[in-house]
Amino acid sequence: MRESKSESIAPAYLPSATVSLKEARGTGPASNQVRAVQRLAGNRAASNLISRTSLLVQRHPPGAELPAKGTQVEEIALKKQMKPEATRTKTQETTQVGAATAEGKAFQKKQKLTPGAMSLASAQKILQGAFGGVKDIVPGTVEVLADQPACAAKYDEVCIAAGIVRDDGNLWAAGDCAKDDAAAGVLTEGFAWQGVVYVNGQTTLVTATAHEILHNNAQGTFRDKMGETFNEGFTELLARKALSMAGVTVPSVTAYPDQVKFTLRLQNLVGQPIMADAYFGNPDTVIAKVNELKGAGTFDTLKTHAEALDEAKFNAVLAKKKA
Amino acid sequence: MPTSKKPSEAAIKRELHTLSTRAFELAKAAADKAAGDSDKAEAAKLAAELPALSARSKALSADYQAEAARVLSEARLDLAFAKAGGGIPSSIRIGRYITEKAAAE
Repeated sequence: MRESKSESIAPAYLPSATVSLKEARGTGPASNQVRAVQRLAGNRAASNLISRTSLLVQRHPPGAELPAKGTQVEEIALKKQMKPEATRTKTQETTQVGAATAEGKAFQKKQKLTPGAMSLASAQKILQGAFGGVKDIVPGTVEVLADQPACAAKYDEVCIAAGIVRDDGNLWAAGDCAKDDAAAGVLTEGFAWQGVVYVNGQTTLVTATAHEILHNNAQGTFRDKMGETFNEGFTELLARKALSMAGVTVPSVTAYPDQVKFTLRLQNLVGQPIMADAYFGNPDTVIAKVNELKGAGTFDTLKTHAEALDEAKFNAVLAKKKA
Repeated sequence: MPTSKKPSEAAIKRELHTLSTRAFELAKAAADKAAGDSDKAEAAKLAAELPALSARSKALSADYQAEAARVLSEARLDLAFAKAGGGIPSSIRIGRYITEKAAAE
């Protein structure tokens, strides 16, 4: 498809695509992309996408092979195999998006009075509104604590309950976490213990709770296959997107700023729908797309540079044309 | 009069990233029960560097302060976990690593 001379209808954040008769019937890959835009950005964005093209039907000589047939067949097969199933009906979508917007408005109002982390229930509703079409969002085991001292106190509490012995041979005691923090010049803002994630509820980052819930919903191998940089970067991008869609003001200063920067560049290359499908479904879709667009093995190289946060090398690989 | 050259913002960020990455690797080794005495000694050495790095990170731009605090906080927990050879509350990222590993097995 990418070798075709036909006009591209895809917006900047989607991989370029042409529309064939199959697409016009709504059964081809570009139709999937339109549906993905509809799902992620709404009907208006999808209408804009369709109306911006003057070419709805691309014909090729009858009986002739499709251009780049092998790649196309491979791509379609891959998508069929890997795309997660939609998990809600149209009615459910309307209800869930409505609930997300209501939750977003309520949070926005509350923030003006007492700024703090979003509750687990609110974040779950907002994420369900945004991504319920590809994944039924579960909150997982996240405990939002009142503030940073509560976070340190909870750390002490679980250590004491588990009978943990400190480096000096003494049993863990109340106040030890704060003491260790002070010695290192840091503050414990969150930790994990026996499958539960504890976070400071008085964070200035509005995405904190949504970010942690999203990690609980990511495909099991996403972190391993994509690496820490893309894992954190895309989790934060999805959290920001969901909150924005629900009407929550998301500040320009983001958590994981470096990781977000690298991930945005990857997303610009492959398109957000593929990234979202990979996050909730199968990371191999992104890896395959990058290698298809930039050449075999490119994803691994990009991942290495992203893990090192080496912007110059990362950008140089992205700028290279496929050999 | 000698002048002390302040490290650039990029150099401090690099330092933070290097320490954070190594702390995570050491903590992962502890989670995998693959950490040796040399790993624990390295974790202790890196932990001793945290106060100075934390002080240097104050020179970073206001926009980056929250991120620096998060990175340092995570690194402290990772290094404490590595020094202890696991078995104590960890950073969130190590918590997820343990959960994902358990799910894969």
